[in-house]
Amino acid sequence: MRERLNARLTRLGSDPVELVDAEPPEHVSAVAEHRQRLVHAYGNELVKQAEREPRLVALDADLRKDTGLIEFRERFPERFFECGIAEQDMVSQAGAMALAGLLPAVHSFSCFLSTRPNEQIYNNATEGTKVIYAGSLTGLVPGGPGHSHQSVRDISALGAVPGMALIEPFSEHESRAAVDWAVNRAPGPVYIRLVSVGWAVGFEPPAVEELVPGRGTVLRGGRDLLFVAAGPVMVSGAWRAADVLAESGVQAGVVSMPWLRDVDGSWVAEVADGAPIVTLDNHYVTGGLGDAVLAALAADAPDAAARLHKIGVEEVPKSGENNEVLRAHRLDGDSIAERVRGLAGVPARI
Amino acid sequence: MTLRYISKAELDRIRTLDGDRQERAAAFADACRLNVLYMVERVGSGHLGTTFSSLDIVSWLHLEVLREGDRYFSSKGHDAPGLYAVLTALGRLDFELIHQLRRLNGLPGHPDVAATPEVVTSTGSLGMGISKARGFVLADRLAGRSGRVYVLTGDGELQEGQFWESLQPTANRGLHEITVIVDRNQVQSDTWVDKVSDIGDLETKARAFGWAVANCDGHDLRSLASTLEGLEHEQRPKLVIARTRKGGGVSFMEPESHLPHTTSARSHRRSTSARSRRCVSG
Repeated sequence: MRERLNARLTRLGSDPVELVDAEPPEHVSAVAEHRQRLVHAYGNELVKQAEREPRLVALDADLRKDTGLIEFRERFPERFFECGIAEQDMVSQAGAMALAGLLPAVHSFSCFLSTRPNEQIYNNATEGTKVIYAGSLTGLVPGGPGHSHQSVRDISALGAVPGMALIEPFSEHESRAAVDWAVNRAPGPVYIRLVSVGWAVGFEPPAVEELVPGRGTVLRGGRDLLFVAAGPVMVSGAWRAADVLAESGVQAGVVSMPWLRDVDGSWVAEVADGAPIVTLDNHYVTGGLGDAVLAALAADAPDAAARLHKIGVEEVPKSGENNEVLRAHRLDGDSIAERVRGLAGVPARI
Repeated sequence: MTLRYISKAELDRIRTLDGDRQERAAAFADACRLNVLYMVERVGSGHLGTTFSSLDIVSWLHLEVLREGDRYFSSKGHDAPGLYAVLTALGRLDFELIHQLRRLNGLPGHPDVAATPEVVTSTGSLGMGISKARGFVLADRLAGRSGRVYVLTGDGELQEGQFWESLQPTANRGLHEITVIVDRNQVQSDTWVDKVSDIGDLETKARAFGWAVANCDGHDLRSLASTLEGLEHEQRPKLVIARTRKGGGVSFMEPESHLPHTTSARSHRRSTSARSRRCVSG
């Protein structure tokens, strides 16, 4: 390209271009400790399910690499439907496939899938059929593309769809279990929310045999405070915050809660055992997991509801490198630890 | 690895060279491509192919076409590094921002009015461009302003329903202030546009909707310039199909190279084995 430019400059009677040298920035490479690749696990499990379930078909809107469908397309080319960048067309097509006896799994980025064909998703749901919607690239990170691609309102956009289960796995185990539940046990439509960035959670995620509706996994106990979080970014944030708090003697527990709408409030209250509950949302605070947990507690355990604090995204997502975006929104582990200190009911031990 | 960019002073020198306008704009576009490469390599992500395919067009518009009161924006949005390279070269954005692509308080991956002065509207979710252009023109007409609106779209983007919704009402209202330039680079995120969902004979279709339609070579600025001039006095909205190549003539980025969705020039260079025809999305 430089040669082409210089040839043009010569024709203009000018000297060749001069370039300035610059040192590349140092990229902080996080230790890849227990990195979770959810989209890959999702796609692989979808293939396994498709081997057993002949009705399962996959639809995609020009993002098959990014939604984990390369393997599915290779294994089941006749059951893979490339729909192009036309989400509304794709979703209504899937609805009719479901009416005609298929089990469609529909794919795009969360930011597009939950919003542009929202009315088509609602229409499908009113027909009482089962369609699986899998949205990747969910949440604040990657932060590079900017807010058009940072999906932080998909839970609220889909939260009132009748009969829909909303699930966000934090680990590869949970991702596989989510697909299994969606294909084999879900009575109605399912939305699976997937963080795309391979995310190091910092501990070995436990095996998950089967998702239990409304309930999550206790990852770590703690008498002073209970973090309830979904997805690898918030669960790892909770884990890090718990580590930081432990240094000053505050014992914080961590629960992975993959159910984003229908939460078992009694179970959460039982796990919290009287401690304050802090929900963490990789989503706007309004309409996210925190609201779902609060509603469940209000119905099932009002005392615990009074001890709930919601933390999540509070302004339009910022664009930047992943860690700097999380920090700017005060949703990295260190910031979360800071934010919970001084919350009502959280002891300030040193 | 050392990264290299072209300074503001050097860009000023190229932009103000005497001589053929098209040759000068093409040189400016190539200089901007080098700075795009620098920005994207520095941060490690960004859509190079679609940026390179559109940069001759974006450069020509900014150097030779746009006047006070006119607006330009890209409906596809993911070619933002190209717009940033042009605006920093022109001094309309702080030049130092070229070191801050996709960084906090820097230049976002997609255009954002809240983050970047000079950006006309926020894009990144595809298909909204012509609808937005119509809103600008109707508002300008009510206010007695006469600005024109130039909208760049992708071709994969035309699969979105909103694009087709927007064509007829724009023609019905005779919004001749609008010129849409389709960057017809024939490649979208997964593969070739015609392998995903062929858009067919776009020229005939747009004409049937009531638009003045022409096509040109989007890398030949003589062709682009004469096409735009030929449409100047049309009283209908205008649509130019600019035939381009993903990568804009840069060999390691042409579609025959394996180019995964939104990745860096480094990995582009590593993987020129032609094992697939994938490219960054368009």
